[in-house]
Amino acid sequence: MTFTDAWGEEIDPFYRTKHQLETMGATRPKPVEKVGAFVIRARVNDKGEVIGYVAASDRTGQWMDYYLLDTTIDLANFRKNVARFASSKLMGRIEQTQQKPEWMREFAYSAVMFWRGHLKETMRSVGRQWISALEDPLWWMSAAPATLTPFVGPASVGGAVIDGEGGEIRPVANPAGEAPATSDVAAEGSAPQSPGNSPRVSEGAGSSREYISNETTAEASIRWVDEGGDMRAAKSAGMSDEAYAYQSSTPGARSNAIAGRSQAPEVQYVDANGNEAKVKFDGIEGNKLVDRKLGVHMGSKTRLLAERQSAALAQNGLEGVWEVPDATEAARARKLFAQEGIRNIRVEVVKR
Amino acid sequence: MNRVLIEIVAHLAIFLEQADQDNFSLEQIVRQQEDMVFRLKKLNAGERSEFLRLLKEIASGQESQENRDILERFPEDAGLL
Repeated sequence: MTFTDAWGEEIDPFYRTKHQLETMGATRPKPVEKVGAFVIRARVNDKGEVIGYVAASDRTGQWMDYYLLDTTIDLANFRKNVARFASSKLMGRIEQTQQKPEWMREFAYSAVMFWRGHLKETMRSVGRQWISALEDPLWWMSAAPATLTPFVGPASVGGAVIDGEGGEIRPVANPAGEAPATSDVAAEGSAPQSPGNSPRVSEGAGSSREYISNETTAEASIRWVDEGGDMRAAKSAGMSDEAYAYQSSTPGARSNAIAGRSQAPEVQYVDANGNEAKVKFDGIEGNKLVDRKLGVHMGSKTRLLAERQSAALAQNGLEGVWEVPDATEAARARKLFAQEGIRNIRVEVVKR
Repeated sequence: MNRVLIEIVAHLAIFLEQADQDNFSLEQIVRQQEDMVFRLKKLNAGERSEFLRLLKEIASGQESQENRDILERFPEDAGLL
Protein backbone atom coordinates (compact mmCIF):
# COMPACT_ATOMS: atom_id res chain seq x y z
CA MET A 1 0.00 0.00 0.00
CA THR A 2 1.16 3.50 -0.75
CA PHE A 3 0.56 6.11 1.89
CA THR A 4 0.27 9.69 0.77
CA ASP A 5 0.33 12.69 3.06
CA ALA A 6 -1.82 15.74 2.62
CA TRP A 7 0.87 17.31 0.47
CA GLY A 8 0.67 14.49 -2.05
CA GLU A 9 4.01 12.98 -1.12
CA GLU A 10 4.46 9.30 -0.62
CA ILE A 11 5.40 8.54 2.94
CA ASP A 12 6.43 5.62 5.04
CA PRO A 13 3.48 4.83 7.34
CA PHE A 14 5.81 3.77 10.10
CA TYR A 15 8.11 6.71 9.75
CA ARG A 16 9.17 8.03 13.11
CA THR A 17 7.70 11.43 13.72
CA LYS A 18 10.91 12.97 15.01
CA HIS A 19 12.93 11.66 12.12
CA GLN A 20 10.32 12.85 9.68
CA LEU A 21 10.32 16.31 11.19
CA GLU A 22 14.07 16.51 10.94
CA THR A 23 14.01 15.32 7.36
CA MET A 24 11.27 17.69 6.33
CA GLY A 25 12.74 20.49 8.36
CA ALA A 26 15.73 20.60 6.04
CA THR A 27 13.57 21.84 3.20
CA ARG A 28 10.73 23.54 4.97
CA PRO A 29 10.54 27.32 4.88
CA LYS A 30 10.66 29.27 8.06
CA PRO A 31 7.26 30.27 9.40
CA VAL A 32 6.32 33.91 9.03
CA GLU A 33 3.95 33.82 11.96
CA LYS A 34 2.68 31.58 14.73
CA VAL A 35 -1.05 31.57 15.44
CA GLY A 36 -2.14 29.32 18.26
CA ALA A 37 -1.09 25.79 17.44
CA PHE A 38 -0.39 26.71 13.81
CA VAL A 39 2.50 28.23 11.93
CA ILE A 40 1.95 30.35 8.86
CA ARG A 41 4.13 29.99 5.79
CA ALA A 42 3.99 31.95 2.57
CA ARG A 43 2.96 30.33 -0.71
CA VAL A 44 4.66 31.62 -3.81
CA ASN A 45 4.12 31.18 -7.52
CA ASP A 46 6.82 30.54 -10.14
CA LYS A 47 7.67 34.24 -10.25
CA GLY A 48 8.36 34.28 -6.57
CA GLU A 49 5.24 36.31 -5.81
CA VAL A 50 3.39 35.59 -2.60
CA ILE A 51 -0.01 34.24 -3.61
CA GLY A 52 -1.27 33.31 -0.20
CA TYR A 53 -0.41 31.57 3.01
CA VAL A 54 -0.62 28.13 4.56
CA ALA A 55 -1.50 27.60 8.18
CA ALA A 56 -0.17 24.21 9.23
CA SER A 57 0.15 22.52 12.55
CA ASP A 58 3.68 21.60 13.48
CA ARG A 59 2.51 20.23 16.78
CA THR A 60 1.01 17.14 15.23
CA GLY A 61 4.35 16.55 13.57
CA GLN A 62 2.61 15.35 10.46
CA TRP A 63 1.77 18.45 8.45
CA MET A 64 -1.70 17.09 8.22
CA ASP A 65 -3.82 19.85 9.60
CA TYR A 66 -3.45 22.75 7.28
CA TYR A 67 -5.51 25.59 5.88
CA LEU A 68 -4.93 27.63 2.76
CA LEU A 69 -5.36 31.34 3.33
CA ASP A 70 -5.66 33.05 -0.04
CA THR A 71 -5.69 36.65 1.09
CA THR A 72 -4.57 38.67 4.05
CA ILE A 73 -8.26 38.98 4.96
CA ASP A 74 -8.37 35.20 5.28
CA LEU A 75 -5.21 35.34 7.33
CA ALA A 76 -6.72 37.94 9.67
CA ASN A 77 -9.85 35.83 10.02
CA PHE A 78 -7.78 32.77 10.75
CA ARG A 79 -6.00 34.61 13.53
CA LYS A 80 -9.28 35.83 14.92
CA ASN A 81 -11.03 32.47 14.78
CA VAL A 82 -8.10 30.15 15.42
CA ALA A 83 -9.93 28.52 18.31
CA ARG A 84 -12.47 27.21 15.79
CA PHE A 85 -9.82 25.36 13.87
CA ALA A 86 -7.93 23.59 16.62
CA SER A 87 -7.69 24.32 20.31
CA SER A 88 -4.47 23.82 22.18
CA LYS A 89 -6.13 20.99 24.11
CA LEU A 90 -7.14 19.23 20.92
CA MET A 91 -3.65 19.53 19.52
CA GLY A 92 -2.33 18.02 22.74
CA ARG A 93 -4.62 15.04 22.22
CA ILE A 94 -3.40 14.62 18.68
CA GLU A 95 0.18 14.76 19.91
CA GLN A 96 -0.57 11.88 22.23
CA THR A 97 -1.82 9.82 19.33
CA GLN A 98 1.55 10.31 17.68
CA GLN A 99 2.65 7.32 19.70
CA LYS A 100 0.75 5.44 17.04
CA PRO A 101 1.84 7.46 14.01
CA GLU A 102 0.56 4.90 11.56
CA TRP A 103 -2.94 5.97 12.56
CA MET A 104 -2.25 9.44 11.45
CA ARG A 105 -0.80 8.23 8.20
CA GLU A 106 -3.89 6.16 7.56
CA PHE A 107 -5.93 9.11 8.66
CA ALA A 108 -4.33 11.38 6.05
CA TYR A 109 -4.52 8.63 3.47
CA SER A 110 -8.28 8.28 3.93
CA ALA A 111 -8.80 12.02 3.54
CA VAL A 112 -6.64 12.20 0.44
CA MET A 113 -8.38 9.20 -1.11
CA PHE A 114 -11.73 10.82 -0.42
CA TRP A 115 -10.73 14.08 -2.06
CA ARG A 116 -9.46 12.17 -5.04
CA GLY A 117 -12.86 10.52 -5.31
CA HIS A 118 -11.75 6.98 -4.42
CA LEU A 119 -14.61 6.20 -2.06
CA LYS A 120 -13.96 2.46 -1.86
CA GLU A 121 -10.36 3.03 -0.82
CA THR A 122 -11.52 5.70 1.63
CA MET A 123 -13.87 3.27 3.35
CA ARG A 124 -11.19 0.58 3.47
CA SER A 125 -8.85 3.04 5.10
CA VAL A 126 -11.46 4.10 7.63
CA GLY A 127 -12.05 0.42 8.46
CA ARG A 128 -8.36 -0.17 9.04
CA GLN A 129 -8.26 2.82 11.35
CA TRP A 130 -11.12 1.50 13.45
CA ILE A 131 -9.42 -1.85 13.85
CA SER A 132 -6.14 -0.22 14.75
CA ALA A 133 -7.64 2.46 16.94
CA LEU A 134 -9.66 0.06 19.06
CA GLU A 135 -6.39 -1.38 20.32
CA ASP A 136 -5.55 1.87 22.08
CA PRO A 137 -7.29 3.88 24.84
CA LEU A 138 -7.15 6.96 22.62
CA TRP A 139 -8.92 5.12 19.83
CA TRP A 140 -11.67 7.67 19.59
CA MET A 141 -9.24 10.43 18.76
CA SER A 142 -8.21 8.65 15.63
CA ALA A 143 -11.30 6.74 14.68
CA ALA A 144 -13.98 9.34 15.20
CA PRO A 145 -12.53 12.11 13.06
CA ALA A 146 -11.34 9.59 10.50
CA THR A 147 -14.90 8.42 10.09
CA LEU A 148 -16.37 11.88 10.09
CA THR A 149 -13.85 13.55 7.82
CA PRO A 150 -15.36 12.36 4.53
CA PHE A 151 -18.82 13.47 5.62
CA VAL A 152 -18.19 16.78 7.33
CA GLY A 153 -15.40 17.99 5.14
CA PRO A 154 -11.80 18.56 5.95
CA ALA A 155 -12.24 21.24 8.59
CA SER A 156 -11.23 18.88 11.35
CA VAL A 157 -8.22 17.45 9.61
CA GLY A 158 -6.37 17.72 6.36
CA GLY A 159 -6.48 20.64 3.96
CA ALA A 160 -9.05 23.38 3.89
CA VAL A 161 -9.46 26.87 2.56
CA ILE A 162 -10.65 29.66 4.78
CA ASP A 163 -12.67 32.14 2.76
CA GLY A 164 -14.37 35.42 3.39
CA GLU A 165 -15.19 37.61 6.32
CA GLY A 166 -16.84 34.84 8.29
CA GLY A 167 -13.92 32.52 7.86
CA GLU A 168 -15.99 30.05 5.82
CA ILE A 169 -14.26 26.73 5.34
CA ARG A 170 -14.23 24.79 2.09
CA PRO A 171 -12.11 21.80 1.03
CA VAL A 172 -8.90 22.29 -0.87
CA ALA A 173 -9.67 21.58 -4.54
CA ASN A 174 -6.83 19.14 -5.01
CA PRO A 175 -4.83 18.90 -1.85
CA ALA A 176 -3.03 15.74 -2.73
CA GLY A 177 -2.02 16.62 -6.24
CA GLU A 178 -1.04 20.22 -5.68
CA ALA A 179 1.07 20.61 -2.64
CA PRO A 180 0.98 24.32 -1.88
CA ALA A 181 4.30 25.83 -2.78
CA THR A 182 5.77 27.61 0.16
CA SER A 183 8.60 30.00 0.52
CA ASP A 184 10.35 31.83 3.24
CA VAL A 185 10.36 35.01 1.14
CA ALA A 186 8.57 36.92 3.84
CA ALA A 187 10.63 35.42 6.61
CA GLU A 188 13.82 36.44 4.88
CA GLY A 189 12.95 40.09 5.09
CA SER A 190 11.66 41.13 1.67
CA ALA A 191 8.23 42.67 1.66
CA PRO A 192 5.60 40.12 0.77
CA GLN A 193 3.50 40.97 -2.26
CA SER A 194 -0.09 40.87 -1.29
CA PRO A 195 -2.72 39.28 -3.53
CA GLY A 196 -4.70 41.63 -5.73
CA ASN A 197 -7.81 41.65 -3.62
CA SER A 198 -6.04 41.83 -0.33
CA PRO A 199 -6.26 44.76 2.02
CA ARG A 200 -3.43 47.04 2.97
CA VAL A 201 -0.19 45.55 4.15
CA SER A 202 1.42 47.72 6.75
CA GLU A 203 4.90 49.08 6.29
CA GLY A 204 7.83 47.07 7.49
CA ALA A 205 9.08 43.86 6.00
CA GLY A 206 9.90 40.41 7.16
CA SER A 207 7.87 40.76 10.26
CA SER A 208 5.64 38.05 11.53
CA ARG A 209 3.26 40.76 12.60
CA GLU A 210 2.76 42.93 9.57
CA TYR A 211 -0.37 41.67 7.87
CA ILE A 212 -3.32 43.81 8.73
CA SER A 213 -6.88 43.44 7.55
CA ASN A 214 -9.01 46.52 6.92
CA GLU A 215 -12.00 44.34 7.61
CA THR A 216 -11.27 44.16 11.29
CA THR A 217 -12.30 46.92 13.65
CA ALA A 218 -10.63 47.29 16.98
CA GLU A 219 -13.92 47.72 18.84
CA ALA A 220 -15.06 44.26 17.74
CA SER A 221 -11.89 42.66 19.08
CA ILE A 222 -11.66 44.21 22.53
CA ARG A 223 -13.36 44.07 25.89
CA TRP A 224 -13.49 47.04 28.27
CA VAL A 225 -12.28 46.26 31.76
CA ASP A 226 -12.24 48.40 34.92
CA GLU A 227 -8.91 49.39 36.42
CA GLY A 228 -7.64 51.63 39.21
CA GLY A 229 -9.71 52.89 42.14
CA ASP A 230 -13.04 54.74 42.31
CA MET A 231 -12.05 58.28 41.35
CA ARG A 232 -15.20 59.79 42.88
CA ALA A 233 -14.22 58.30 46.23
CA ALA A 234 -10.80 59.93 45.83
CA LYS A 235 -9.19 56.54 45.31
CA SER A 236 -5.92 56.45 43.42
CA ALA A 237 -5.82 55.85 39.70
CA GLY A 238 -2.55 54.03 40.34
CA MET A 239 -0.37 56.75 38.84
CA SER A 240 0.55 60.42 39.24
CA ASP A 241 -2.06 63.08 38.45
CA GLU A 242 -0.06 64.15 35.40
CA ALA A 243 0.19 60.59 34.10
CA TYR A 244 -3.51 60.09 34.73
CA ALA A 245 -4.39 63.31 32.88
CA TYR A 246 -2.23 62.32 29.93
CA GLN A 247 -3.53 58.77 29.81
CA SER A 248 -7.18 59.66 30.28
CA SER A 249 -7.02 62.03 27.29
CA THR A 250 -6.18 59.06 25.06
CA PRO A 251 -8.62 58.83 22.13
CA GLY A 252 -11.45 56.49 23.05
CA ALA A 253 -10.48 56.37 26.72
CA ARG A 254 -13.49 55.95 28.97
CA SER A 255 -14.63 55.14 32.48
CA ASN A 256 -17.29 53.04 34.15
CA ALA A 257 -20.07 55.46 35.15
CA ILE A 258 -21.36 53.12 37.84
CA ALA A 259 -18.08 52.03 39.40
CA GLY A 260 -16.38 55.40 38.89
CA ARG A 261 -13.28 53.58 37.67
CA SER A 262 -11.21 54.04 34.54
CA GLN A 263 -11.67 51.46 31.83
CA ALA A 264 -9.10 49.98 29.52
CA PRO A 265 -9.54 48.08 26.26
CA GLU A 266 -8.32 44.51 26.71
CA VAL A 267 -7.38 42.25 23.81
CA GLN A 268 -7.28 38.46 23.95
CA TYR A 269 -4.62 36.45 22.20
CA VAL A 270 -2.93 33.06 22.28
CA ASP A 271 0.52 33.15 23.84
CA ALA A 272 3.58 31.23 22.73
CA ASN A 273 2.53 28.25 24.86
CA GLY A 274 -0.85 28.07 23.17
CA ASN A 275 -2.65 29.48 26.21
CA GLU A 276 -5.26 32.22 26.07
CA ALA A 277 -3.91 35.50 27.40
CA LYS A 278 -4.99 39.15 27.65
CA VAL A 279 -3.24 42.47 27.37
CA LYS A 280 -4.47 46.01 27.98
CA PHE A 281 -4.11 49.33 26.20
CA ASP A 282 -5.27 52.83 27.19
CA GLY A 283 -7.65 53.72 24.38
CA ILE A 284 -8.98 52.97 20.96
CA GLU A 285 -9.27 54.99 17.77
CA GLY A 286 -10.78 53.26 14.74
CA ASN A 287 -8.60 50.28 13.99
CA LYS A 288 -5.86 51.42 16.34
CA LEU A 289 -5.28 50.51 19.95
CA VAL A 290 -3.49 53.30 21.75
CA ASP A 291 -1.13 53.12 24.73
CA ARG A 292 -0.01 56.44 26.21
CA LYS A 293 3.27 56.69 28.05
CA LEU A 294 4.46 59.80 29.83
CA GLY A 295 7.89 58.21 30.09
CA VAL A 296 9.35 55.05 28.60
CA HIS A 297 11.18 52.66 30.91
CA MET A 298 13.29 50.29 28.82
CA GLY A 299 13.50 47.40 31.26
CA SER A 300 12.43 43.80 30.84
CA LYS A 301 8.85 44.40 31.95
CA THR A 302 8.22 47.04 29.29
CA ARG A 303 9.74 44.77 26.65
CA LEU A 304 7.50 41.93 27.75
CA LEU A 305 4.44 44.17 27.62
CA ALA A 306 5.37 45.37 24.13
CA GLU A 307 5.81 41.78 22.94
CA ARG A 308 2.43 40.80 24.33
CA GLN A 309 0.72 43.83 22.81
CA SER A 310 2.37 43.08 19.47
CA ALA A 311 1.22 39.45 19.52
CA ALA A 312 -2.33 40.45 20.47
CA LEU A 313 -2.48 43.06 17.71
CA ALA A 314 -1.11 40.64 15.12
CA GLN A 315 -3.51 37.87 16.03
CA ASN A 316 -6.47 40.24 15.94
CA GLY A 317 -5.46 42.05 12.76
CA LEU A 318 -5.15 45.39 14.54
CA GLU A 319 -2.70 48.28 14.65
CA GLY A 320 -1.05 49.66 17.76
CA VAL A 321 0.27 53.08 18.66
CA TRP A 322 2.37 54.19 21.58
CA GLU A 323 1.80 57.88 22.15
CA VAL A 324 4.53 59.73 24.04
CA PRO A 325 4.87 63.42 24.95
CA ASP A 326 8.14 64.30 23.22
CA ALA A 327 10.70 63.27 20.62
CA THR A 328 13.14 61.95 23.24
CA GLU A 329 10.65 59.41 24.56
CA ALA A 330 9.60 58.58 20.99
CA ALA A 331 13.21 57.76 20.08
CA ARG A 332 13.52 55.53 23.14
CA ALA A 333 10.29 53.69 22.28
CA ARG A 334 11.41 53.18 18.67
CA LYS A 335 14.77 51.87 19.87
CA LEU A 336 13.01 49.38 22.13
CA PHE A 337 10.79 48.17 19.26
CA ALA A 338 13.80 47.82 16.97
CA GLN A 339 15.66 45.80 19.60
CA GLU A 340 12.67 43.52 20.12
CA GLY A 341 11.80 43.20 16.40
CA ILE A 342 8.36 44.72 16.90
CA ARG A 343 6.97 46.28 13.75
CA ASN A 344 3.25 46.53 14.26
CA ILE A 345 3.24 49.26 16.92
CA ARG A 346 3.90 52.79 15.71
CA VAL A 347 5.23 55.58 17.88
CA GLU A 348 3.67 59.04 17.75
CA VAL A 349 4.40 62.23 19.65
CA VAL A 350 1.31 63.69 21.29
CA LYS A 351 2.04 66.76 23.42
CA ARG A 352 0.67 66.91 26.94
CA MET B 1 20.07 65.02 48.19
CA ASN B 2 18.83 62.64 50.84
CA ARG B 3 20.39 59.19 50.47
CA VAL B 4 17.48 57.55 52.29
CA LEU B 5 15.06 58.80 49.66
CA ILE B 6 17.27 57.50 46.86
CA GLU B 7 17.38 54.13 48.61
CA ILE B 8 13.57 54.06 48.53
CA VAL B 9 13.63 54.77 44.80
CA ALA B 10 16.30 52.11 44.28
CA HIS B 11 14.39 49.44 46.13
CA LEU B 12 11.17 50.35 44.34
CA ALA B 13 13.03 50.01 41.03
CA ILE B 14 14.24 46.54 42.05
CA PHE B 15 10.81 45.55 43.31
CA LEU B 16 9.06 46.56 40.09
CA GLU B 17 11.59 44.84 37.83
CA GLN B 18 11.32 41.64 39.86
CA ALA B 19 7.58 41.81 40.59
CA ASP B 20 5.72 38.55 40.07
CA GLN B 21 3.02 38.84 37.45
CA ASP B 22 0.86 36.40 39.34
CA ASN B 23 0.45 39.05 42.01
CA PHE B 24 0.71 42.27 39.98
CA SER B 25 -0.54 42.94 36.49
CA LEU B 26 2.19 43.61 33.97
CA GLU B 27 0.40 46.78 32.89
CA GLN B 28 0.41 48.13 36.45
CA ILE B 29 4.09 47.34 36.93
CA VAL B 30 5.04 49.10 33.71
CA ARG B 31 2.82 52.04 34.53
CA GLN B 32 4.59 52.51 37.88
CA GLN B 33 7.96 52.33 36.15
CA GLU B 34 6.84 54.92 33.61
CA ASP B 35 5.60 57.15 36.42
CA MET B 36 8.97 56.86 38.14
CA VAL B 37 10.76 57.77 34.91
CA PHE B 38 8.52 60.79 34.42
CA ARG B 39 9.07 62.07 37.95
CA LEU B 40 12.83 61.54 37.94
CA LYS B 41 13.14 63.52 34.72
CA LYS B 42 11.91 66.55 36.62
CA LEU B 43 15.23 66.68 38.48
CA ASN B 44 17.45 69.52 37.34
CA ALA B 45 20.94 68.77 36.02
CA GLY B 46 22.63 69.06 39.42
CA GLU B 47 20.03 66.97 41.19
CA ARG B 48 20.17 64.34 38.46
CA SER B 49 23.92 64.10 38.72
CA GLU B 50 23.73 63.67 42.49
CA PHE B 51 20.94 61.12 42.12
CA LEU B 52 23.04 59.05 39.69
CA ARG B 53 26.06 59.23 42.00
CA LEU B 54 24.12 58.02 45.02
CA LEU B 55 22.35 55.34 42.98
CA LYS B 56 25.70 54.01 41.84
CA GLU B 57 26.85 53.84 45.46
CA ILE B 58 23.69 52.01 46.47
CA ALA B 59 24.09 49.59 43.54
CA SER B 60 27.64 48.74 44.49
CA GLY B 61 26.47 47.94 48.02
CA GLN B 62 23.96 45.34 46.85
CA GLU B 63 24.79 41.77 47.77
CA SER B 64 22.60 40.30 45.06
CA GLN B 65 24.12 40.43 41.59
CA GLU B 66 20.64 40.64 40.09
CA ASN B 67 19.75 43.66 42.20
CA ARG B 68 23.08 45.26 41.37
CA ASP B 69 22.43 44.74 37.65
CA ILE B 70 18.98 46.29 37.86
CA LEU B 71 20.31 49.41 39.60
CA GLU B 72 23.30 49.71 37.27
CA ARG B 73 20.98 49.53 34.26
CA PHE B 74 18.42 51.87 35.77
CA PRO B 75 19.88 55.19 34.58
CA GLU B 76 19.85 53.97 30.99
CA ASP B 77 16.49 52.17 31.29
CA ALA B 78 14.98 55.37 32.68
CA GLY B 79 16.64 57.65 30.13
CA LEU B 80 18.54 59.62 32.75
CA LEU B 81 21.90 59.54 30.97
